[in-house]
Amino acid sequence: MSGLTLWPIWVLLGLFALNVPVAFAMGIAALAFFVSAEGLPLEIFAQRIVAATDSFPLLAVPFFILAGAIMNRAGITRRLMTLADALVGHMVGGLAQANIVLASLMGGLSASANAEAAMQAKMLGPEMIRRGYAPGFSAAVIACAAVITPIIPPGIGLVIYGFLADVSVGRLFLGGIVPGLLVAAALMTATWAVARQRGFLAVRERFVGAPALGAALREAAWALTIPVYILVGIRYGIFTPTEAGAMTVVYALLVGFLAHRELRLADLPEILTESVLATATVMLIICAAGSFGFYMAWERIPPRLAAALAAATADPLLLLLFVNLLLLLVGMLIEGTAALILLAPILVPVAVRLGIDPVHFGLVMVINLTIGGVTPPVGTMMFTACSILDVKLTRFTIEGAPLVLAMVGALALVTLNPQLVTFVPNALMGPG
Amino acid sequence: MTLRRALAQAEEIVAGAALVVVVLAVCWGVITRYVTAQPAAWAGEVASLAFAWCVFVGAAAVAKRGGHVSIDMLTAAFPGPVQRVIRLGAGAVAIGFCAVAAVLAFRFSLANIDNPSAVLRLPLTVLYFAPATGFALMALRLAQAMPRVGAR
Repeated sequence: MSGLTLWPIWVLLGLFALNVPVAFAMGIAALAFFVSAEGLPLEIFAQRIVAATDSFPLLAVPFFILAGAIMNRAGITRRLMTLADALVGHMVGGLAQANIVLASLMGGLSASANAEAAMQAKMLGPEMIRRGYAPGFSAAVIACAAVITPIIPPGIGLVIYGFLADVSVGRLFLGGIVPGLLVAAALMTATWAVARQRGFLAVRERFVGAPALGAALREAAWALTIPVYILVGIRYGIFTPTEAGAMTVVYALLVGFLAHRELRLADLPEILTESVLATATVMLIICAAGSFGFYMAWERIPPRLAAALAAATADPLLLLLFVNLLLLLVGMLIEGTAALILLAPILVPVAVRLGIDPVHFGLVMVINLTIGGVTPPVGTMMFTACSILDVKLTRFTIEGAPLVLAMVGALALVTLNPQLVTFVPNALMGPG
Repeated sequence: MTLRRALAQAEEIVAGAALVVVVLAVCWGVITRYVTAQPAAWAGEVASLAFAWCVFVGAAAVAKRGGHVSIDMLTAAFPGPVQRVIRLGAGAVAIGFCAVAAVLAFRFSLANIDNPSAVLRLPLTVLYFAPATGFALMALRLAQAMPRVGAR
């Protein structure tokens, strides 16, 4: 590889190590390359950094963040909690199980794992600790349950992957259903085992009964229709995932103001600010990655790396194994979305070259890096749950280990069986 | 709201308003596609324009709160005074970058004054002014936070 310029990568890693924010580090490394390269006008840098905001699919990111923030204040989350409790409250470790079911139900509405972890830690955490659950385990269940949310559609990680890998967001959404439920099942099994061993009790002795469950279902009906119409709308081409996001925002507002009557106009500034902050944090990294991506494309690094890796192995399974180990490691050190933005453009060409379905690969990447949010030393959902519930990271790590292992098991299952991901989109949208 | 409070919250107000415009524009695009014979082609353009403003001005609001994602794993291992020097150095580097990016984006925005957008024929200056404003505000907010970063 003669004449290959690699120093911007070392600059990038050096700035990362010195605690310079990821977005700025990428911008600086890219800018340094633009300045040093001959014949590259600096204007391209300015143009590249704005380019991502021109992407219609990426508009789904703010929409689903905004919709989630509205739903938390519109009484939608609380009604789903009542439903989750009615469904599984009688199981061993009932409150922990309800937490996982709630995250799965919210999965169809909310798209952000961090927001989900914060919301559940505030809403359910104190209650779990009051009922005798160990604080470390409570924080671990809450943070791990939040992993489910972005995998069950809609999910921000899937939208971003779709943008980076040029894959249909609709297919990714449909492909996330089965893996999301699998992760939920794995978590519920692990929680059941831990709760039995440590004597975490059920909320009540027996099932609430059909009438109570029916009442909870009726109360939650407004919210439960949201994932249905998002998926039906996307499947039949009535709207794109982005438009579905905008409609979800409007729908959540209508439910909050008119049906539940719990949302107030005074809530809106706070909802908007919260959404702006979450959106800008992610999008600035994507924008900066656009400028750094120009350098990588200029030096043809992704195709070169793809060729090198493909020469090392022709076995897609081996590559998937390697990618999973790499991502689990990276996910421990770097925030998940940032890691996804950095690595997807490099890894997807390799995967496609070895014949791996990009939808399957996307789910593997997103599940893996979302799990990275609960593994020490760096994990945003872990930090969120631990700081809200005042739990030490060591306690979290010890008590959360069985849950994380269960999720890695589910990830392995999804990695080894592409049809778990591809079956639903292929059946509903035709082979891609 | 007093002027001072409005100024302190300027980024949140501008970016929040831009986000509302994005939602309305995309919804209007869907509605016109099904209700009228002529879907509003301008809706997509307005949405992406407002999105740029939401992202870059919003990023200054994030900077104000010290919320941009960074990797503090390695620096956490150093003794306190060394950490402090690294934090100040990283802050200075970030401020410098934002200032340079603001100038570049500003120059680019002026260079595009005769370059109209596809549908509305607005000068693209309006678009590129978003990162120019955003990075300038980010430099300002990061600089304002420097005494706090040093004292921590």
